[in-house]
Amino acid sequence: MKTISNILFAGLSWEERSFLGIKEDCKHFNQTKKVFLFVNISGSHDENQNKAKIQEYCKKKHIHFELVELNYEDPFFTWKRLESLVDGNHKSLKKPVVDISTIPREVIWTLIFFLRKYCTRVDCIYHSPKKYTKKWLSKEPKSPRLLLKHSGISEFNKPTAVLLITGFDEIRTRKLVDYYEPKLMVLGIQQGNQFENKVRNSKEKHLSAIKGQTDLKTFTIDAFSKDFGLSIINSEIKKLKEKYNIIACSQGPKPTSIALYKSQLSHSYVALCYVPSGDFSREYSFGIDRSYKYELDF
Amino acid sequence: MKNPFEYETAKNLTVNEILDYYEPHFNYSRFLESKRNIFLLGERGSGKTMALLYSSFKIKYQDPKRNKDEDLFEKVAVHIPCITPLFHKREYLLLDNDYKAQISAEHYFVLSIAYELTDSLKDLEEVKEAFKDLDKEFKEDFEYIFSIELNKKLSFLDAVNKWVIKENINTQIQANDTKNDEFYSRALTMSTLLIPLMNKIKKAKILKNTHFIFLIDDAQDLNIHQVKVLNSWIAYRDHSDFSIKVATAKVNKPRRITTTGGAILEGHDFTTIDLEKPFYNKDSEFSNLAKSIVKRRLKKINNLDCEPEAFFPTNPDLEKGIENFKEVAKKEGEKKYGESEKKKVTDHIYKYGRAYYFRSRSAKANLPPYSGFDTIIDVSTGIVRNLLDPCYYMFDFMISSTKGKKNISSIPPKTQKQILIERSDAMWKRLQEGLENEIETCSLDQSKMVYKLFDNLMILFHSRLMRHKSEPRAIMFTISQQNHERYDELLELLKIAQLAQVLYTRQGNAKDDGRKETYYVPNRILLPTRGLDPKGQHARVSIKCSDLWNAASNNIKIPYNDNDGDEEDQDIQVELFG
Repeated sequence: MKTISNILFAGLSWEERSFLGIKEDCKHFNQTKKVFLFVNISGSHDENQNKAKIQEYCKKKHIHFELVELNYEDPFFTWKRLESLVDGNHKSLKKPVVDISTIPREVIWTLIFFLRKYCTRVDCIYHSPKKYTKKWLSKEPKSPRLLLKHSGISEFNKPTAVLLITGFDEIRTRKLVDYYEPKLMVLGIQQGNQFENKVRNSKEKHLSAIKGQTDLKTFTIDAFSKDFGLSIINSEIKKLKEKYNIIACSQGPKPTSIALYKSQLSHSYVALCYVPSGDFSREYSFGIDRSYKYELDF
Repeated sequence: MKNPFEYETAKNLTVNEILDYYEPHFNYSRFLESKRNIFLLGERGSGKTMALLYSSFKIKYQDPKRNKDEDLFEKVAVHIPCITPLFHKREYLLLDNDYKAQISAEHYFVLSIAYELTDSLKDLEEVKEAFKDLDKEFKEDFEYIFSIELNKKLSFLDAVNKWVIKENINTQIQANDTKNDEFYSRALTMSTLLIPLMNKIKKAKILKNTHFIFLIDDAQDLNIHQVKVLNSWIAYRDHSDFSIKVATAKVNKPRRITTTGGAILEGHDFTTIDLEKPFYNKDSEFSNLAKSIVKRRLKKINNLDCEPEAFFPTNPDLEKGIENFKEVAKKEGEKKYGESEKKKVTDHIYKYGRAYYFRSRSAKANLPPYSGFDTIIDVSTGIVRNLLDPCYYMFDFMISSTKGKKNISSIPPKTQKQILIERSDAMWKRLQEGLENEIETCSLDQSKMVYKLFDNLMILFHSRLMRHKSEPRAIMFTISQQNHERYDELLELLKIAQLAQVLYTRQGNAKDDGRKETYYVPNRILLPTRGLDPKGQHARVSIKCSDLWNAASNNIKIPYNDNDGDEEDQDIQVELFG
C-alpha cells in the first residue's frame, strides 16, 4: 500500500542502493515533492554517477531535488546546516521520510532531532543491500563522540556502562573500551546468519578484542524485527539504569540506530555515542534487497 | 576461578581492591602529598590512576596500614576522573563564544570537585562532630550567597553534597534541552563555590590546617576549554590551601595555556614527575615493583603464598644455556683482561654472555624457550599493564586447560613460551594490519611506514645480537641528524608508534655535553617473535634520521657495521634508571 509523504531525506553514496533506494522510496511514497540529498563534502569516493541518476530520475518524476552539503567529519557544521535546512522548510514538512540506508548515524539522529521540532512522526526506511563485500567494510575508526543534546545525564560516583549493538568491525568495539574505559560493556549481537553475520559479527570476535579490560555481558537483538530491536534495548537499559552512567552506541545493522534513538527519547539519561570511520570500502555493498520501515512517533 | 592478573582500569576498582592491589611507592606518594602543583606523566597502564587513587582521602581513611599517629586531616585529596561521560560532553560547541564555553567547562569541574570533597568528609563521625555547632550558620550563609534552599535535616557538608548532585543533573538537563542553547546562568567557578567551600571546611577545628589536593586524572582527553580552566587554577598565586595534581599520558598531554591566554611554566607553576621506572636489572626499581604486584595479587586473590619466580619458573634449558655462555664469556674476559680485572670481566660477561647464547642457536631452530619471571618483566618494558597482560593470558590458558578444576600453583615454562610468542605475534599483527585502524591521526601510508620502520629496527637489532662487537644487545635508539629535512615527518611516525604503545620514550643525559636527550624504546613484546633477547643492555644505538626515514619509506635496511661504537662503550645514564 502506498503511503503519502511530501519530503524525502536521503544520503548520496557511491553504493548502488543510494539510487535504487530513492527510486523505491519515491514509488512507495507517491506524493514525494522534494528530495533533499545529503552529500558529504569530506567524502573520498566518487558519487557522481549516482548523483546524475538521482537527478535524472527526479526530473522525470517532477520531484524537486536539492543537494545539501554536509561535512560528516564536522558534527557542528552538520548540526548548524541541518538546523537551518529544517527550519527553512518547516512549513512543507508533512510526514517526512528519512531513508537511513546511506546516511551516517550521527546525521540521522541530528536530522530527527530537528524534525521533532515540527513533526510528530517521521518514517524511517532502510534498504538492505543484496550483499556486502567479503572484504573489509569500514576501517580507521576515529575517537567516539557523544551526540550533541543527547549526551545523557552523568551522575557522580557511578561507573560507566557502554551498551553497544555490535557490527562487523571489532576494532570499533575496542575503540569504545579504550576511549571510555567502561566498567561494563554490554554487547547486543545481531541474530541470524544474513551476510555471514555469525562469522563476521561473532560474539567471540568482539570478546577477544576486549578480553581482560572490562566486565562483559551480551544479549541477542534482531534489528530486522518490527520494532528494530527497541524492546530488547529498552529492557537492557533498564537493567543498567540504577548502577551506571550509560553510553549507547550502534555499529550493527542500521535499523538499530533508530531503535536506539527512540529508546533515548524515553531514557534521556542515556548518552548516544557515534564512532566515525575514517575509510569505507569502495565495494561496500551491492544491489538492493528487502526494505524495512519504522514509524517513529514522538 | 578468578584470574589474579585482570588489568581492569584502576578507576573501576573498589576501595578494598585498591588497598589489596596497590604497591605504595614512596617517591610518588611524597610528590602527590606535597603542596606543589604536579603533572604526573606516564603511558597508559603505567599506574597513574592507581597512584592518584591510593593518595586520595577516601582510600587513605580506610587503609588499615596507615600510620595512626599521622594527622589524617592534614591533607585531603580528592580524585576527579576525567574519562567520564560528563567530561566528554560537547554541548559547549553550541554556545556562541569561548568565554561561555570556558565557564561551562569550569562549572562541571567545580561541581565534580565539590561533590568529591563533600562526599569524602560528610559521613565521618569526627567531621560531623566538628561541624555540629557550625552546620546551621554555614547552611544559612550558602543559602543566602547562592539563593538556594539546602536540606534542613542534613549537615552542612551533606546538604551541599546533595545540592551539588542536583545542580549537576539540572545543568545537564538544561544543556540537553531541545529548545534551549542558552548558557547556564547559574554557572559556578573556583572563586564562587570551591574557595568559599574550602574556607568553610577549614573553620572546623580538625580541618583548620588542611591542605586540599585535587587529583585530576586522565587529563589528556580534556577539551581545550577544560585545559585552559585547569591551567588557570594551576597558575593561581596562592596555593597555601589547595594544590592540583594532574595525571596525563605523555603523548597528547594538555597544552599549557590558560583562560587569559597566558601560559603555565614548569618550575614556576608546576613540577613534572615521570612515572616510568627503571627496569634494567634484576634489582631495579621496576623489577621490585613487579615482584610486589604479582606476589600481592597471587596472595590476595588466589591465597597463594608464592614468589613470582616460583610461579613463573624459567625453562631449565634456557637457564642452563645462558649460564654456560656466561661462563664462556667469563673465561674470554679473564683471558683478555686478566683475572684480577674483576669489573672489566663482569662487564664482558654482561655484554656477551647472553648474546653468545642467542648466537649459538641454529638459524633453523625453534624460537628460544622464553620463560621466567625476569623475561616477563623484560617484555613489559617497564609498564605495569604490559606486565599483567601476558600473565593474564597465561593464567587464562591454565584455567581453560584444567577446566577450572585444579588449583594453579605455577605456569609451566612451555605455556609461558607459547603465550609470550602469541602476545608478541599479536603485537606484530597490529602493526601489519595497520595502525590506521587504531590511531586517529595515522594515515594508511604512515601505518605502512611504521611497520617497515619497526621491521627494519628488528633486523638491525638482530644483526647486532649476532655480530656486533661492542653492544650486541642494544635495543633502544636515539636519533642523530636532527636537522634533516624529514626529521619532523619521522617524529610524526614515532608519535603514532607511541600512541599505539609499540614505542616508549625516556629522557637521559646525552653522552657528549650532558644535555637531555630522548631515547626511543620499542615495546619489548615485539622481540620474542623475532627471536631476539628482550633483556637488552644499558646502551643505545645512535641512528641517523635519514636511515630511519629510508627504512620507513623505502624499506631500506638501516646501515649496520660490526664495529659501530666500538672505540668506547656507550653505556648511558638514563634518568630514573637503576
